[in-house]
Amino acid sequence: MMKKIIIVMTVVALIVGTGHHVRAETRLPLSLDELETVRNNCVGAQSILYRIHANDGVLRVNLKRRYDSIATKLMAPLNSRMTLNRLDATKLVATTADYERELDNFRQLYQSYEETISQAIFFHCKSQPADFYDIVTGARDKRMAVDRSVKQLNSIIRQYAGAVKELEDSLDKRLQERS
Amino acid sequence: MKRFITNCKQLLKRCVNRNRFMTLVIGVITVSSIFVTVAMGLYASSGAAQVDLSRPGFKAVRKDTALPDSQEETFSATGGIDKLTLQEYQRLYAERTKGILEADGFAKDVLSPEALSISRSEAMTAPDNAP
Repeated sequence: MMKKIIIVMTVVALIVGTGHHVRAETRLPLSLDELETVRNNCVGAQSILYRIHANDGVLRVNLKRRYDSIATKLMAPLNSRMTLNRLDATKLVATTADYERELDNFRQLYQSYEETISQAIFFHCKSQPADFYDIVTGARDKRMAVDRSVKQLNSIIRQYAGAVKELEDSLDKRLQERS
Repeated sequence: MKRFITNCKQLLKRCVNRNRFMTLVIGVITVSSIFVTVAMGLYASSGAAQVDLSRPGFKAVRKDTALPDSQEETFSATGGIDKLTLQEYQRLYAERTKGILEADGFAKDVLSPEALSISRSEAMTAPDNAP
């Protein structure tokens, strides 16, 4: 019985242990000159990354606060008012759902980006310049993904405004038909 | 093996009985450490760490955080819907979303190898990453 427990624990430890050390493959192998450049300039690069990390942190807080304000103080009240007045709010509600989903995606993408850039800031870049370059490249890709998410959120915001305009036009039409 | 486990259990019981206060202290520290580890894990995994500007490293930029405006005009969730209401809503919506739609957010490529001077090509002056 003890033997079985020990074997199971060893297997679990091996799986968990090896899982954490998966390293990203270098996309394009760096030449010796490039490695030397990275090694020489990486400390300066880390101080730049430190500033970028701080500025992006503030940007993320400000953006999220405004996005949340739009959802809770603008979209939700109008959707509720539409429902109370027994008007068709399907498009508005669907757009709001897309918005909430993308907002959650933005939060997750930013979290992943922040973890990667933090890793780059505290990495031993002088001893492992190739890995440092990989981590920075990964952070760059993730930052671009965050930017795409922000653009998508902005697109949904415009979509919602368009839906409200359509609603206004349809109300106008109804009034004209009645008169 | 069974005998070994039994002997260990008896030894542990004897130690605990002799040093009850120390056992209490060690037990409290162990339980606290477990709770702190779980709390820190939740703090990191939930995304709270990313919005926590009280962390070291954010001191210089803390003042740039936009404070929530308690005087902000809100749209009521109750009431009628007519053309005037929707026009008022659109005015409020445009005002509130103007800043976000005009900002370029994360668009600048500040993490390019050239911007960080870690590429072979002539290092550019690193851009000023002001939000």
